[in-house]
Amino acid sequence: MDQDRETRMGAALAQAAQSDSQGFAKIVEEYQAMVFSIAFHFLQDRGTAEDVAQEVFLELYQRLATIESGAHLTHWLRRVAVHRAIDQGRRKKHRSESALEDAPEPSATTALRDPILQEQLQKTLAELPEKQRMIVVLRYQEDLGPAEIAELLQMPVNTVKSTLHRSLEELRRLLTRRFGEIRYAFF
Amino acid sequence: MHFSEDDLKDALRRKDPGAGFTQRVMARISQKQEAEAAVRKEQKQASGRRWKWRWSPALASALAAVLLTVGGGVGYQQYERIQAQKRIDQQNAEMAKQKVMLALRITNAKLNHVFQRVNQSSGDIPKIRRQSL
Repeated sequence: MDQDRETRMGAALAQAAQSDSQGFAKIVEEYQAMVFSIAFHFLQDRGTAEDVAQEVFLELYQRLATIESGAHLTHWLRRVAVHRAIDQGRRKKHRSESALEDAPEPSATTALRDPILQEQLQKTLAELPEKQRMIVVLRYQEDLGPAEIAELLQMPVNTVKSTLHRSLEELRRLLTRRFGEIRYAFF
Repeated sequence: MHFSEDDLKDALRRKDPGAGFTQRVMARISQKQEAEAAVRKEQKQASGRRWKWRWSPALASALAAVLLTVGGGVGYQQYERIQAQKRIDQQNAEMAKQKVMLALRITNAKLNHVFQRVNQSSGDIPKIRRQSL
C-alpha cells in the first residue's frame, strides 16, 4: 500500500514539478494528516500545528526540484515536519492543554478504545521533554523503528531506544499521578 | 496507571487538519508567489535606478563642462568689454592731455608775448599806471 502511494506521489511530483498546481494539491491532500499530526501531537496546539504544516508545504513547493521520488518525498516531509515542530516548540515553549472538543478529528474512523485514557495520554505526553515527546510521536504515530527515528533526529540508535524506554516509564508515572488527582477530585 | 502500546497508537493516530487545508496552502503559495513577484519587480526598478546613478557622474561632468564653457565665454566677453573701455578711456585721456598741453603752450606763448611787450615798454609804466589810475 505504501509502495502504491509512493508511485502515485511520484507521478504527482512530476506533475507538480512542471508548475501544475493540481499535482501539488494532490501531494498536500495525501500528506496533510502526517505533517499536521506530527506538529499537533508534538505542540498540542491546533492553530500552531496548522501553521507549521502550512510552512512545511510552502518549503516543499520551493524545493520541489530537489525531490527525486515518492519515497524521498515521504522522508523529506517527515524530516522537515519534525524539525519545524521542534523549532516552533522552542520558540513558544508550548505547554498548553487542549480540550477534547478542540482536538482534531481522527483521519481514520476506528472505534475509540478509551477516550478518557487517550485524552489523558495526549495531555501527559505534552509534559515530556521535547526529544522524548518527538521520539514517542514518531514511534507510535508514524510507526517508525528506532533506526529510522535515530536517522531523523540525528542521534545514536541506542540513545533512541533508551530514551523511548525512559519516556514510556515517565508517561506511566505522570499518568498515574494525573489519574490519582482525578480520583482524589471525585472521591 | 497501565496503558498498552495500542492505547498510545490510538492516542497518537493521525488527524486531519480540517476541511480546506489544501486550499489554504495553495492560497499561501499564490500569495507568496505574488509577494516574490512584487519583490523582483521592486529589485528590477531599484537596479534601474542604480544604473541611472552609475551614469550620473558622467552627466554631472558633462554639465560641469558646459557650465565652465558658458561661464568662461561670458567671463571672456566681459574682460574684452572692460579692456576696450580701458583703451577708449586711455585715448580720451591722451586727447585731453594733448589739449591741455596745447592750451599750456598757447598760454605760454601769449605770456611770453606779453612779457616781451612789457619789457620793451618798461619806460611807459608810470604812464600806464597813471592811465589805469
